[in-house]
Amino acid sequence: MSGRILIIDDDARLAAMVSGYLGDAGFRVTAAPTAREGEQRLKREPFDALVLDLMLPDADGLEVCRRIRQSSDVPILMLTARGDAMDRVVGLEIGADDYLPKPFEPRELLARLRAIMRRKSGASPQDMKRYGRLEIDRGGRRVLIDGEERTLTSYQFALLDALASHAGRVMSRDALMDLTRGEQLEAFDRSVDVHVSRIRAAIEDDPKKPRRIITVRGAGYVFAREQDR
Amino acid sequence: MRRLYLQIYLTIVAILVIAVVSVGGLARFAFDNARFDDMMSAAGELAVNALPPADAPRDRQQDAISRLHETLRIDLALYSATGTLVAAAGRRLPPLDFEGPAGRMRGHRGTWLVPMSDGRFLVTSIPRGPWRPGPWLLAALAAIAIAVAIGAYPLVRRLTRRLERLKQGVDRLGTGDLSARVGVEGKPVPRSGPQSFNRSAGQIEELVRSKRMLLANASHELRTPLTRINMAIALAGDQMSSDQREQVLADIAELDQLIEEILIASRLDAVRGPERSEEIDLLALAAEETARDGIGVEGASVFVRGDRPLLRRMIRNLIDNARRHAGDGAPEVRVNRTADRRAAIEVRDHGAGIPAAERERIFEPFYRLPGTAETGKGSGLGLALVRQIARHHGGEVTCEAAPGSGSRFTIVLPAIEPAQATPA
Repeated sequence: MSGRILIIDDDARLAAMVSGYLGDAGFRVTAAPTAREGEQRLKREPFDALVLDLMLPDADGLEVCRRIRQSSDVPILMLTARGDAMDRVVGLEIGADDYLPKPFEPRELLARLRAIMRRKSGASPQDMKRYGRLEIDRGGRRVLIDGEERTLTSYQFALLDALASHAGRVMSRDALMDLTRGEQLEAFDRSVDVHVSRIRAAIEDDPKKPRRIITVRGAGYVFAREQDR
Repeated sequence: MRRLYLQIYLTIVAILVIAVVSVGGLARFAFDNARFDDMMSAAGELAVNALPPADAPRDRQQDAISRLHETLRIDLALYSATGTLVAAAGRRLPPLDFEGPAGRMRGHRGTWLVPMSDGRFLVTSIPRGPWRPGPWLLAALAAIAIAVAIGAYPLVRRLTRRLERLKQGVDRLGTGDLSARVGVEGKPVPRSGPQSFNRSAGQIEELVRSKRMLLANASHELRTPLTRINMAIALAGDQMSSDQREQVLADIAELDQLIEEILIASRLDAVRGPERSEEIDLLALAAEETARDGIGVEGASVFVRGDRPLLRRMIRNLIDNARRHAGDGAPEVRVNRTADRRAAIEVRDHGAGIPAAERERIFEPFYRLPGTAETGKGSGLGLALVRQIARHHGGEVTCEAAPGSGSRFTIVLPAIEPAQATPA
């Protein structure tokens, strides 16, 4: 995928590095050090996505985001910092498509940028669920890691979806079987365990040390809300 | 506080009652006794001057007494020094009683015995006059008291209502509602209380806001260079061995954590009560954090209400601490609902253990166990932050010796029933 990306960040060195990194990935990147310059460029030239820092020397990133949203529907990725006064809700309410806390992994930046650009060009955002580098496309029944599709059977997808829609809660095997009852059951007693290990093989970085679907001995499984820290 | 106005009002009424009673009593007392002897001797002098001398004939004495009776309209009886009745006018008076004291004659209302300076005695009765000082004085005082009591009620009520409002404002401010203000009304003087409260509240709100801004800025500014280092590592590609890369990434993570801990600690100092709160499955949260280190968690789901990032940090720090002092074998983590319906999370290590005397001090910021080397790991805030976060959520953390060896840290938090039940 290629596209034109505008970075508005007052840290020139970081902007240069991000430009280099995204350039290597095939994007054409323009950097603007101030909100003023960024907004002017955005009016003159077409961009496919905007990376916007929350703290700018001449403006509050949230304010800039709101202003841009009034005249443009360019996908916006906000750079924040963990513990910032702003949290996800505020950022998304004012029109940002996603946010990424500093310090971030470069490949996560890439994955999220690709995701918001793809979302723009097709799938409705309600159907796309993102958990770190993992994306679940409920509409298309697809699972992606870093934007790359991973293969799951339809029952495995249903199981993953059931787990993910209860992220942060321990789900018993019985509860999971109830939630996936509509699916054709390739199932007998231990089947949930078997399928979980298949899903892990598909989506975990190290299936032996799972970080996305975690076993809680004697209780069931939990889908992690934070997976890439 | 609700009854403050009653307290003040009843105090005023009590003071009025006491004043009426004591003034009335004093008046009676003064009237009865204080200058009584003087009055009696003065009356005796007057009588000597008004009456003929003792050796004058009886009919002259009688004439004088009758004249006095007519002029003054009082009953009179004159006795000689030996106690013989010399003259009398008006109604019949009780007989002379030598034993009794001068003044009011005991047993006879309104009858007075006046010893004269020449040794004679005069007995007189003053008929009921229009002026009876005792009861009238009391009634007047009581009327004033009732008027004051009625008039004071609305005043007291209005003043205390303002005080109550002021107190409610102070209470709200104390619980962290920095936008609390008090209505300003009334005359300039009572208005100044709410005004200075509002001024102070405004200053506090401003201070806390600028502190929050500072923290947010610090968080952002400190993390931007970390992001640059992250980017640099990614861009370095093959110029770095994967070992070097791991090492630098670990250092970045540690620095990031240090920044976060310092910022959390100062943020928690600034605010009381969770800013964001949601239902959290403590077992699931513990499972996520233990999974990062590849250790397990046991127990049952129990829900608490709280700030997820803070609670995550709390569990993380306890696990990090246990791993640093783990000794042989991984830390053990358990989540449970206690018998008194609270949520408990236990982290147990197999390390050397902590002497009983140190088990409280380890929760102090930057405290190190005596004899422990600077490992370079951890900010020194870890356990202090665990305690700060636990208390922020209405809970507590304690440390005890684990059976066998090592230590067991237990966090207890108020448990809730989840609004949305986990599907069975």
